[in-house]
Amino acid sequence: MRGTDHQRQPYDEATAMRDDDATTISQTPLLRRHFLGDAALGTSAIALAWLLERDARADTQQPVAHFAPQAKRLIHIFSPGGVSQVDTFDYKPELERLDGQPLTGKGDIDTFFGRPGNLRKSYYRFARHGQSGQWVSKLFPHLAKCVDDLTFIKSMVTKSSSHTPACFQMNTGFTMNGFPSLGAWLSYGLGTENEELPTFVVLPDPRGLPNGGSNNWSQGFLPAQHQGVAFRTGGNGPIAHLKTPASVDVSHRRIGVAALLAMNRDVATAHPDEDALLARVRAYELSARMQASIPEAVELDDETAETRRLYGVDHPAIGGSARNFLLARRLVERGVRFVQIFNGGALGSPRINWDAHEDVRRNHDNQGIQLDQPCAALLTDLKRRGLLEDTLVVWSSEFGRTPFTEAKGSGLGRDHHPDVFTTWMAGAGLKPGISYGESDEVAYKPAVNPVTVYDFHATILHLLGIDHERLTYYHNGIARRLTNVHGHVIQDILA
Amino acid sequence: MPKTTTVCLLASVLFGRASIAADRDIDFTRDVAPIFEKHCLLCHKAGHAEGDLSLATGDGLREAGYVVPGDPEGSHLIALVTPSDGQRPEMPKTGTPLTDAQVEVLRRWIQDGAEWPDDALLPALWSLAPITPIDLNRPEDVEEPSHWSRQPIDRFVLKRLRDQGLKPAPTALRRELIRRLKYDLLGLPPTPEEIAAFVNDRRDDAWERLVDRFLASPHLGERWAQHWLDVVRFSESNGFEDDAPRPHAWPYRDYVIRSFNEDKPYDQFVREQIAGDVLAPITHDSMIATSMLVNGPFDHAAAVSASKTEQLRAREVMLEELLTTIGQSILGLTVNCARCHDHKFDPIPQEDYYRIKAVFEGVLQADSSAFRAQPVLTPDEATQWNRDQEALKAAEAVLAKLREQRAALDDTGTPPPSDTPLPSGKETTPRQQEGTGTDAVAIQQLDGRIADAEQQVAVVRQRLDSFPKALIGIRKQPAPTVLFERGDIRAPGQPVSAAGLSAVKQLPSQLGIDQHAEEAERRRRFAHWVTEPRNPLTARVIVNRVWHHHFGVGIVETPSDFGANGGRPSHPELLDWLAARFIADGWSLKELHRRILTSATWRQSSQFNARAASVDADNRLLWRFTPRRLDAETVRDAMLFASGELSPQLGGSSFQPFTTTTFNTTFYHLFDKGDSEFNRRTIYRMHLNTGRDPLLDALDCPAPSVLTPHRRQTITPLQALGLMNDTFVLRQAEKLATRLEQNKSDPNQQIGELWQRTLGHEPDPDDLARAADVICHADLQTLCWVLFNSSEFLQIR
Repeated sequence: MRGTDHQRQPYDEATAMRDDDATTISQTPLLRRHFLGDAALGTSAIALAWLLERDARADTQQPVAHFAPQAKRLIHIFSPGGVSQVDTFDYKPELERLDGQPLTGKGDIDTFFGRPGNLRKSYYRFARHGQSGQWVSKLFPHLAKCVDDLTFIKSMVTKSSSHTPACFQMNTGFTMNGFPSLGAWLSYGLGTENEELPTFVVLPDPRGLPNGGSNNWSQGFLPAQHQGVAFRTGGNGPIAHLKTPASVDVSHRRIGVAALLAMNRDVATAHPDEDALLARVRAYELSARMQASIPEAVELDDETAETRRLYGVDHPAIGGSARNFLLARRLVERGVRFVQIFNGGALGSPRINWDAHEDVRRNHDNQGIQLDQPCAALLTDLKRRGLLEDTLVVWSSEFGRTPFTEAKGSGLGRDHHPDVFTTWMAGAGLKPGISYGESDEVAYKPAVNPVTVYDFHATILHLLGIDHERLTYYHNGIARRLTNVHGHVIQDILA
Repeated sequence: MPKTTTVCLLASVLFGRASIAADRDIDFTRDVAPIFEKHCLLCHKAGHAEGDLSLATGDGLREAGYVVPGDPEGSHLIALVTPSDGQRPEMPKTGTPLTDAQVEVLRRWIQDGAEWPDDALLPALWSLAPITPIDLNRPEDVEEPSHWSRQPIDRFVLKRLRDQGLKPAPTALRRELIRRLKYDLLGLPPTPEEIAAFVNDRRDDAWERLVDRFLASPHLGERWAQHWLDVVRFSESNGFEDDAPRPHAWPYRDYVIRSFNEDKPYDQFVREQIAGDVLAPITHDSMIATSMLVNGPFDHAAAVSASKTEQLRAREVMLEELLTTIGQSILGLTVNCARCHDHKFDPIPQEDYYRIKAVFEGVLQADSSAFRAQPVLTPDEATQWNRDQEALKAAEAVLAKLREQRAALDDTGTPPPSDTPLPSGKETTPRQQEGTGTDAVAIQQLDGRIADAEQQVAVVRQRLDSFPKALIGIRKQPAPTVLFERGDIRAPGQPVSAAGLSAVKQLPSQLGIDQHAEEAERRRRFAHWVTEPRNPLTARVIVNRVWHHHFGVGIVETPSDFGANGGRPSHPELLDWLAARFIADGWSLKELHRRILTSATWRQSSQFNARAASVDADNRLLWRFTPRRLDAETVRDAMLFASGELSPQLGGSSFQPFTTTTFNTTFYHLFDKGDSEFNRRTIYRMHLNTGRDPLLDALDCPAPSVLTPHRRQTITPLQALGLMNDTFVLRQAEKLATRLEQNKSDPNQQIGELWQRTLGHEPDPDDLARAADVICHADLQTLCWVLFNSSEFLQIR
C-alpha cells in the first residue's frame, strides 16, 4: 500500500518524494504541516487527517530547515533494569586484579541500596571479536559476531539511580512523568511513511510490561496521535479496537459505515471551511485500511524457515522475544518510523528484567538469552536486506551496575549505577566497529568523553535529520525539546 | 533598587497584524514596546546584549545611533528590519520578521521623536501591569451600546471587529444555542423536552433564564471541575515506578465540584488549596483542598532508596513539579524555568524560584515510604482525635489483658488472680467442669468483661473512623531553604526566605518573614499574596481560563503562560475589564459565566465568513462562534445520557473499571461492564497515570500528570477505530435503540427522537430516507451507532 498515494501533496511533498527519489530529501523541510482542506472532497487529496491539530502555535514554532537524514527510521532495543557494563561490553582487566577489594579513592559511594560490597570482576569471560577486535563477554555469543557493525559508547551517564526516573530520562529526556517519549517526538517531527500503520510502535516484552507501562511511550503534551502504540502479544489482536467485535453483524456494519460516511461527507460539504469534518471522513477511511494492514504486518507466516530459525522464533525459551525482533523488521520495512522493543518487563520477582541485585550471573544469563540471538538476527537480517543503510538501531538500558557487589544476601548482585554505563548504536550514518568514550579502570566513572543522555538523544535525532535544538513544541511557556536545554551531537561517531 | 515603572503593554499587536489608524498617535508603551519585546529583546536585553545593544532602556538605541529622532530614513533601525530585494531583513535574526505594519509603527514612532519614557524599562510583561480600570465610555476601547450588544463584552468585541471592517455573525438558532450551552456548562446534551421548552419560550429573558437554570445544576461542578483537575495534575495513582492506586484521592475532586457548584469565591478557593489546613476558618473542606499540593506524581522508589543524592534529587523534582503547577495554573507564569538560572524570557530571577520553594518547603507527600490517606481533622478535632487515640490504646490494652486472662484460664483451668472476686454458680463447659466450681463463674464473668471491652474499643474506633480520609500529605518544619547554584543539588548557596514574585510591583513580594518562619505562616502569607486584588495575575489568569473554555480559545491563547513566550491578549481592555469586574463581583465564577454566556458574542452562530476568515483565520476577533469537537469525557457522558444509562450518582469514591495485579508496579487490566456503577460520569473514573481508557485517550484525554490547560482536538484513525469498535459505544447504541423502541413504535418517530437525542434537531427528509434505509437493511441499533460516530454528534457549533 505504501507509496500508492502520490496525491498527498502539497502538505507533504516530502513524503511523496521520498518514495520515488531519496535524493530530494535534503531539500525537505521538516514535516510540520498545516492541514489543507480539499473542497472537492476527493479524500485522496485530503491531508493526513490525523495530523489535524488545532493549535496554530505548534505549527508556527516548528523548524523549517534541517539536513539530510542518514536514517529514515529507528529501532530502539531497551533493556530495562540496568545492564551491567562490566559483564557485557566494557572489559576491565583491572577489576580482575582488584577483585574482592573495596573501592577506594573515588569519593563517597552513594548507591541506591546503600550497601556497597567489594569490587567484583566480571562474571563472564571476555574476548575480542570481529575485524574490529571489540570486546564482548561470553554472555552474547551471537551479538559478538556483529561487533563490526556496532558503535559502542562506553561513557554514558544518567541522572538518577532509581529505575523509573532513569527510564523516563532514557525514553523522554526528563526524569519526571509527563514528557513526550523519543518516539512521540519523531512522530511529531517526521510524520509517517505509511499512514496505514502507526508511526510509533512499541513491542513490550512478552513476559510483561515494564514499570510505568504506557508512561514509557507517552506522547506527554504532544497531540494524541504521537503516542506509542503498544502491540499486544495476546490473542485479542495487536491493538485495541482494531477488530470489529464478533457481536456485530458484518452486513449491518457495512450498511452502517456507508451511511456514516455519507452523512459525514454531507456535513463536510455543508461546511467546507471546517477542516475537522474532512479530517474525520479521511480518518474513517484510513481506519478501515488499518484493519487490514496491521494484521498483515504482524503475521509471520510468510517468513522463510531460515529467517525464523535465524531469530529463534520457534525456540521454546526465546520464541516470544524473537517474534518481537522479527516483527520490528517487518514494521520498519513497511514504513513504521520508530519501533521500540522492550527486552525486559517490570521489576518484580522472579526477575523478568536486568535488575541483578541478587545474582548477576543468574539474572544476566536469563535476560541475555532473550536478547542475544534475536537481536543479532535483526542486525543480520536488516543488513542483508539493505535496510541497515538507512535504519538506525540503538540499544540501551536505563543505567549500568556497580563494579562492586551489593553487600547483602548472596553478595553476588550489583546495585544500580547511573555514573557510567555502555550503550551501542548500529546502522545508518555511523562509524561501525568503533568504541567511543571510556570508563575509568574499574568502570565506576567516565574517564574519557562522558556522554549524557541528552547527547545520546541529540545524536539519534541528528542521524534522523533533525537538529535537536530546533525540534520544539510550545507547552506552557516553554518551547520544549527532547534534550531540554542540553545536548551535543557526538560528531566522532558519525560516518 | 532603581525606581522604574513597569511598562503597561496592553498590546495592540495582535498576531502580527498590527495596524494603527493613521490619525492615532503612536504610544510607546502601547504600540512600540510590544514589538521590541516580542522580536528583539530575546537577544538585545540587559545583561545579555548581543552586539552590545540592549533594548532594556531607550539609551541603548540612541547611543548606538540606531535611532535618529525625527528621521526614520536616517535611522539604521528601520533599515535593519525592512526587507530589501525580497531578502529576509537583517533583523530579527531568528523568528518572524516584522510585518509592514509593525515597521510602519516604528517609522512613525521615530518620526514623532522616538520618545521613550524615562521610566520605561523593558522587558516588562503586559501581564504584570496593574489591571487597568476601563472606562466604558472611551470610544477607543469600546463601541457605543447598540441593538446587537447585550453585555459590555460585546462592545469591546464589536470595537475590534469594526476596526478590521468586520461584522459579527448572526445569532445562532435556539436549538443550536441550547445544545451548545448545555454541553458547555454541564457537559451533557439537551433532552428533546428541554429543546422544545426553550425554543417555544417567548419570554424576553428566556435565554437568561436558561443560563441561570443550568448554572444552578449540580452537573455544572462535574463539568467544570475537570477543567481545573486538568491544570492541577489531579492523579489517583502514583505514577513513577509503582503507579499504585490512590483510593482516597477523590475527596479533592469532590471538593472542586462542590466549590464550583456553591460558587465559592475564587480567591477563597485558591487560598484553601494553598493553605486551607492552616488558614482560619479551618474546615474539612479547606483541609481537603490542600490535596492540590500533593496530587502530583509520587516517587516511591526514591523515597525508599538509601542514596541521599537520590532522595534529594527526587525531593527537588517534587517541589519543582509543585511550583510548576502553582506558577502556571494560578499565576500564569513559568516560575519553574528559574530553577537553574534567571528566567530567560520573564522577569523571574532565580532567587524567586527558591523563595517560592521556601513557601512550600514544609509540604511533603509522605514522611516514610508510603503516601497514604489520613483522617481529615480540624485543630479542634485533632485534640479529640488524640484523646481518642489514647482512649483506644487504653481500651485495647484492657481488652488484650482480659483476653490473656481468658486464654490462661483455658489453658490451665485456673482463674488468674483478679481484682474482683468472682461470683459463683452458672453453667460450665465440660472441660471446665473438671476444675473448681468458681472457674465457670469466673469464665462467664470474664467473657462479659471481654464483651464490654470489645464494645468499648469498637465505639472509639468508630468515632475515629468517622472522620473523612483524604490524601493531603504531611507538613514539617523545614530547615532554611537555600538557593542551588545552577539548580545543582550539590551546589547549595545562600539561604532565602519565603516570598512572592519580585516582579509583581504592586505588592511587597517579601512576606515579612525570615528564613526560619513557621511552615504554616509561609503558606498563609503566600496565599494572601496570591489572592490580594492588587496582584494582577491571579484574576486575569482565571478570567482568561474561563473565557478559554467558553470560546475554545482564550483572550490570551496560552492560558497557563502569561509570560513573554506566551500569547498576547487579543482584547486587552476586555480582559482587564472582566478581571476588574470579577474581583468587584467577589470573585464569583458564576457571575463571570453569566456575563459571558449572556453576551451577544457568545450567542453568535458558527456561520462561516470568507472575508472575515481572510483577515482573521483563527477567529481571535470573534466574528463567529468557533465550532469544536466534544472532549473525551463529554463524548462518553453524552452517549450514556442519550442511551438513558447515565448513573445519577454524584460524588463519592471513583469507579474503577479494571482489576489490578501487582508485580512491583501496579498493572491495571481494563474491563468494560454496563453495570450502573460504571455508568457514572467520566469525571468519576479513577484518574490513573497508566490504566487509562484507550477510547478516552484517542479523544485526547490527557495523562493526569501532564498539566493541560488546553485539550487538543485531534482526529485520527485510532480514534475512529475506538468510536466504531469500543464495546462501550456499541452497548450504548444498543441501549439507545431499546429506549427508542420503547418510546415509539413508528420508525419515523424513532428516527425523529434519535436525531433529537443525539443531534438536538429533527431529521430533514434526506436524513429520514437514509435513516429508514439503515433500519430497513440493518437495524435501529446500527443507526444509533452511526449517529454516535457522526461528525454532527461529535461537534458543537
